[in-house]
Amino acid sequence: MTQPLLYSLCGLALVALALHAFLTRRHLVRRIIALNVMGGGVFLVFGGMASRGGAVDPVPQALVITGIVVAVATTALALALALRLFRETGRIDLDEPNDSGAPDEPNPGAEAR
Amino acid sequence: MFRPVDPPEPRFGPVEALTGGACLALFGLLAWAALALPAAPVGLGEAVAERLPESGLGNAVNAVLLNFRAFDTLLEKAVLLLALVGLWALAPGVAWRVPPGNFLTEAPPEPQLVLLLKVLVPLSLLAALYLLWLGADAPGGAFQAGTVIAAVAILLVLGRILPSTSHGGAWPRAGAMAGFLLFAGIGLACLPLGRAFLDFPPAIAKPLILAIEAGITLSVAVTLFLLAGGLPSRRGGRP
Repeated sequence: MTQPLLYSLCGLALVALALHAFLTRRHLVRRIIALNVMGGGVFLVFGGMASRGGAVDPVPQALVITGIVVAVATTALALALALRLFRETGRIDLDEPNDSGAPDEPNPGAEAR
Repeated sequence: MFRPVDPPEPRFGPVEALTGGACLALFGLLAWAALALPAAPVGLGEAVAERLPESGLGNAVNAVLLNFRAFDTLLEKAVLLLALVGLWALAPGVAWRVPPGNFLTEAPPEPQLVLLLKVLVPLSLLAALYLLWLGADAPGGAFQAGTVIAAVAILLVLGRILPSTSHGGAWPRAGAMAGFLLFAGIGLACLPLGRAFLDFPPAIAKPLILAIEAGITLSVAVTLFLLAGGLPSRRGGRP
């Protein structure tokens, strides 16, 4: 096993693990973190694949930098959406209201925000 | 009635087993694809190395970012601006009338923090300028420099020297847009010269790219700082 291949396989493992977390977790911040880990895995695959065969290909590296910026922007917007949802409803998951049997009233702690 | 905010995470059950199996199968498929790739890599490395002198830069990665695939980088700046607009669109209207202030406290800055900042801030700004200048010929560049400057600004908020009000004023907003507008403007200025959009003439490519990088550094720093400020609220940036 060559070193670039090892990096690529680790990146793919990160993608699969993060996808599982993204699909099964309910807490929105956990999902946003899972999305970031998935992005990190993709960047690792890009870095690994770019360094196959000695000379490093600069194009995937440039794409990774662009991807990091887009990931930062996505994360900021996703966190803002989660925060707004929390301020409106006092909840930090996307479940239907009342399906857990709890009364559907805003969290008193959230109203002051 | 107060309810805990954290939703209960599901225990391991049939749904989790199914999802886990599917993700494992996906990993297997992708790993098989990675292992089955031909040994000889197919890439653009040689093409980039061949045209590198025309780009005006010595660093291949930044030549790709700012010249060969400049359109990607231009749109990346647009994505950053869109994230900021999206963040502000989520803020309640009343948050915009809150006067600037620092969410930590109204008390004067603590002397030991000010002492630390007096050492850290000039050094960090010097490092940012060095990263910006280095980007032409070595790893570094505008985004890295802008990130360092944004970190300095966040330190100044933590030291209670800058206000933390996240919606900023007219100047921060102009700074956030400057990089994109300069980049697009220089790209459009290539058209009367008989070249394509963002197709810089090789003779003056380096000064053009340095100007664009300076603009991007400013915009990245301001945009990341405003994004880190979070969602404006009626309590004036207080979390």
